Amino acid sequence: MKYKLLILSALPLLLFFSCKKDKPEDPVEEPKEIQMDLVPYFGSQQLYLDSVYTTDENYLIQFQEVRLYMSNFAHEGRILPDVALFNLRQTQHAFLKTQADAGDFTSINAYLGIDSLRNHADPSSFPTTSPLNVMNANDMHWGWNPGYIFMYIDAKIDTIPDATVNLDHFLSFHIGKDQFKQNLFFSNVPWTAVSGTLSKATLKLDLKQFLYAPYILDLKGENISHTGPGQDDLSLRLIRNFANALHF
Amino acid sequence: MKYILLFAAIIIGLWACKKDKAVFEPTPYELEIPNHFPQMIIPADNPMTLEGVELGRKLFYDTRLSLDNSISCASCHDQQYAFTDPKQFSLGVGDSVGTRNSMALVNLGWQQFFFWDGRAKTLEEQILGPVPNPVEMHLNWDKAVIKVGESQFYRNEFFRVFGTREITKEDVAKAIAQFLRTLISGTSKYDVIYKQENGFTLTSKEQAIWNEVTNEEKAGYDLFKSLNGADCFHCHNGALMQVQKYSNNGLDAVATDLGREAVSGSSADRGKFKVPTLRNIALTAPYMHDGRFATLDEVIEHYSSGVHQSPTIDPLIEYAFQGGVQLDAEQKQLLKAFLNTLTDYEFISNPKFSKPQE
Repeated sequence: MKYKLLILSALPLLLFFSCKKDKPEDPVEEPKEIQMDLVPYFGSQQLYLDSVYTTDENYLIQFQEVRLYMSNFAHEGRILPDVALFNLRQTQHAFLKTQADAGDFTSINAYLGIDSLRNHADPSSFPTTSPLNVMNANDMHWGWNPGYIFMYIDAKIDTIPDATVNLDHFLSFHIGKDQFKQNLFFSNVPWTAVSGTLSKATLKLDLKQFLYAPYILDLKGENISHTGPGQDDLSLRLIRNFANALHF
Repeated sequence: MKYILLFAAIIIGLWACKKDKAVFEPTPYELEIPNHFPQMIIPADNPMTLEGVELGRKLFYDTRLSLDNSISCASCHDQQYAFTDPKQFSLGVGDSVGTRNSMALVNLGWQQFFFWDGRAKTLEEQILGPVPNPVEMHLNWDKAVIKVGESQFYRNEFFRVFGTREITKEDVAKAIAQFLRTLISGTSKYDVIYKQENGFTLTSKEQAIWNEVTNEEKAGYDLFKSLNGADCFHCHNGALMQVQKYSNNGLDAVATDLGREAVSGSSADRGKFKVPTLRNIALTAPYMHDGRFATLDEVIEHYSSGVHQSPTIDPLIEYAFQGGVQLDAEQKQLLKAFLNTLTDYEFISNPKFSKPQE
């Protein structure tokens, strides 16, 4: 009799456990992402390739290529392994999208250019998805010794302010090499949450400011630099102006 | 006894007449990519297989893809000339003539667009072009696939490669593309110079080649790379000896061929053409999109003193305002000596790329 009661009392317990649903697993947290776009401007106007803009000297200027590399994005000891390649003609405003928490990058340090180690590595050895792979770098890579081109601007200008448009003067600024790499610092990056996991910010590049600050460029005479011998002074002024023209 | 023998003879006869049954068990093909080259991206819908490469090779050399069975792909892309044509303009069916020089078929797996004007975005798409082109093979694809399908051999081979007995133009293109992706040139003297320059460990064979590089060739390479020398490296550099872009290289003050503009519709692209590789350049005369230069000397002279300015000229041709880079006679010879190091003799004699036995 005692055993019967014991069994009867155990049965509901067994039934209870057998009907118990599997405990749901803890939800997997989706990784957070940041997306940084880059939009070029000419003063207050958004800049489009092949459109014509007017400089303070009343020169007409038409940009044909605007490209740049940035690397070593970091903030307070956190470093992103990513390299970002901006190529306005090929990929419009896309610049950087990677797994990171925007809260960890409220300010950003970065290089305009590529750190020396990767600048002189085998450009074929990077993954095919890397902006540094030679197939993606394409003509942004000179060779193992000079490395990558950090900033690349091609433009045509008309330096005679008259009624006719004659863009017969070329600007070609291709700056690379380790000594011209620039340190950038952006404080208070204005991240905007666009979904639960993705935050976005837009970096601006003012190509009008690039022509004048901190150094005023003489576009008539200082129209070419491939960072070659004898072009160090102009190359340095160009890349400093370019770094100065980047801001959020 | 007589009946037994008769029965056995019938069985043996049936066995003897039995056709090979094609099976669809494709074998993955391992590309031999030189260690200084980037990885080749193979389209997901056309993986490389041994069977596919072999089928593509047969089709590449098969004249039945032309209207009157007179020409094959190889007619205008001859291995001994690094898969190009020594004629200024190749002859199509009925000796029809086009307006552009045959492009060299080399390292195609790394190209990002095809034809001189880049009108094809993939290799498979490019291959669909010449068969129906009236100045090339002049055979519409419907008829071409019927002709191919009339062959029992091809029906079996297409089944082996694609697992289907229905032959389509897309599968013809895929097979040929697989073969073309194997046409890798990376064993020239230049490759050894490139490796030596960039710190690769040379094999004993490569070391021996490096030991044979002459001072003239080295000096020519320096000129090739120099901004104040020949200044060639902006458009021709790296392991592949080219960059992927369109360029107006100053051939004409007024464009005689719209080039990329005819595809893009943009006047900013007037007179721009795909920058070709310089690999095997000594073998691929005549030169330029219209084959206007018969020799390397003429090409060098163009960049030295014959450049014409125009609104779309490539800004990288920095000395266009003075007609070119102004090389002296010795510099021209040095540059030519370097250009000759780009010839890859293994590539042009590789039996895997030659016409297969019938």
